[in-house]
Amino acid sequence: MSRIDGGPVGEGFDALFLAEWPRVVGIARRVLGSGVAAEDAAQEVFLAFYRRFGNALPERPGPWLYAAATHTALNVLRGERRRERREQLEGQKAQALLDPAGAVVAREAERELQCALRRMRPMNAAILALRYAGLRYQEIAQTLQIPVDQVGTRLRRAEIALRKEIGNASSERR
Amino acid sequence: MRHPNDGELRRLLDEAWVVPAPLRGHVQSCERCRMHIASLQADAEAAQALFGTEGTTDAAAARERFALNLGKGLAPVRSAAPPRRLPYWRIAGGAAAAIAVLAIGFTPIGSYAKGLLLIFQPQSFKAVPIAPSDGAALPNLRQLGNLQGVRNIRLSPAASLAAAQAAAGFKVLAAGQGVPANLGSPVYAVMPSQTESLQLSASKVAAYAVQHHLQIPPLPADLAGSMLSVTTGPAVVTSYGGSLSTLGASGRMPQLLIAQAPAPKVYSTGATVQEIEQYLLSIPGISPQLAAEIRSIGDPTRTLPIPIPIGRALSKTVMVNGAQGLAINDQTGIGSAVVWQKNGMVYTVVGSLPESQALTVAQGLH
Repeated sequence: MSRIDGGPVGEGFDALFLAEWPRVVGIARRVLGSGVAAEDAAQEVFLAFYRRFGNALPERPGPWLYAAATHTALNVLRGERRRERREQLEGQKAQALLDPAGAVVAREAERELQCALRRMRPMNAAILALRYAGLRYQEIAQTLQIPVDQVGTRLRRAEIALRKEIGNASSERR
Repeated sequence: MRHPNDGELRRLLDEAWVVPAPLRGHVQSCERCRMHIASLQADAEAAQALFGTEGTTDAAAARERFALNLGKGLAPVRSAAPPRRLPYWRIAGGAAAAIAVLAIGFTPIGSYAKGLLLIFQPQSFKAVPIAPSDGAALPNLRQLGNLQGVRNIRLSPAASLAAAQAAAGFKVLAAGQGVPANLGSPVYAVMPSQTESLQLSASKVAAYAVQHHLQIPPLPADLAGSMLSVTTGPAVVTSYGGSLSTLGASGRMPQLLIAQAPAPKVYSTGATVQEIEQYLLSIPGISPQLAAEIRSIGDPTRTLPIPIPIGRALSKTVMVNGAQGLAINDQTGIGSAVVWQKNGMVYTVVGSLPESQALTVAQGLH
């Protein structure tokens, strides 16, 4: 059993960690790609959660975790954690040595998406990450603290913004 | 009736059952709305392709790392794990899903321990329309129990059809008519026999309920004690226009895949497939439409449901050399698949070709 500040990590927190870990990582991966940075971001989310709540779990921990996952990942993406990004890039270089063709495909697709997310409004980037990580509209509404009947409209706006960002990036390359 | 707004149309694509029936009916009969929702769907699919599908992660290992992080105080321990390759499913898309259907289970019975009860031996297939959000709502079995055994499809190249046949131990049919000439020679690969077991766990079900904020009925005692086992026997995949065994490296799907394997069989130490089905369908979040479709199958031990994404694929019953099968196309003209069963073998033809041509390839196997 782990301890922090003299107290043991309770079974409730353990169950929550095991249950929510895949989803928190999934959200971070939508922003940071398939590298190790997403798992690092998810670790930070759970550390922050544990420091804030300890074993006194809130009634609905999910929305807090999902919001934190989105914010943490977007912060990393926006360069506030440059060291982590450097480490991820080093990892990608290693991957390129092992699997050159696959690395090119993966890196290019992820780079394109990450550039677009970095340029988008945070709300747009957040709702895309949440939806494509598999959250339902009700869960997205709770996470972003917006009415559920606005989720579809905002998601639609975000998808249009993403299309434009990707389109702009493609025209700039030509 | 007014035209639905963008938000309602967008939700219709993901969670159709919460959109009022009159609005759904309006969209079906209004050409303007149908055209508009098609553009929303195109943007959603483009976004889905960019964001990809879920990869794997090891929560237990992450929990150990978290304990280390707690012990060290502040900064999280950096992961020492190598970066993941782009997930297979993210590249392969729907065609790979069809292959996965085959990989659910193929047979050798001989190695099976006594006491196991054969609960699932499908003789036919049934298309089950599934909304994209159903995919998110349906629990991954790994979230409900302890899974053991090989989890990935491993394919080994075979030098020729004869070599593939020798490795698989069954007669492998060769393709004839319908294969586009520009795809070149076939490449063969064999998936060896594998075993996967699942023991449903009451604590994991409880954790799943916490995660999804759902009121899930407790796991019945006979299900909690049951071990489901699937043996994935030898399968042979013939590919044209690329090799499936190098898919991860090339990032390209072959243009045409033909998979052949003995029909799936699933064993249980206790629970019947009806009991399992009844329990899974009791989990909130699964749309009533999907639940009704699955229940309508009748005898679930004889019919394998094939998920057909609503708005993204169409299916119809076809005959392949005297056997009833299912043809699926993705509505864009990009891909189609034909699945059928004959003499205890399951066959799948999947490719970037029109449905009629996939059917010709299917009928040309000999």
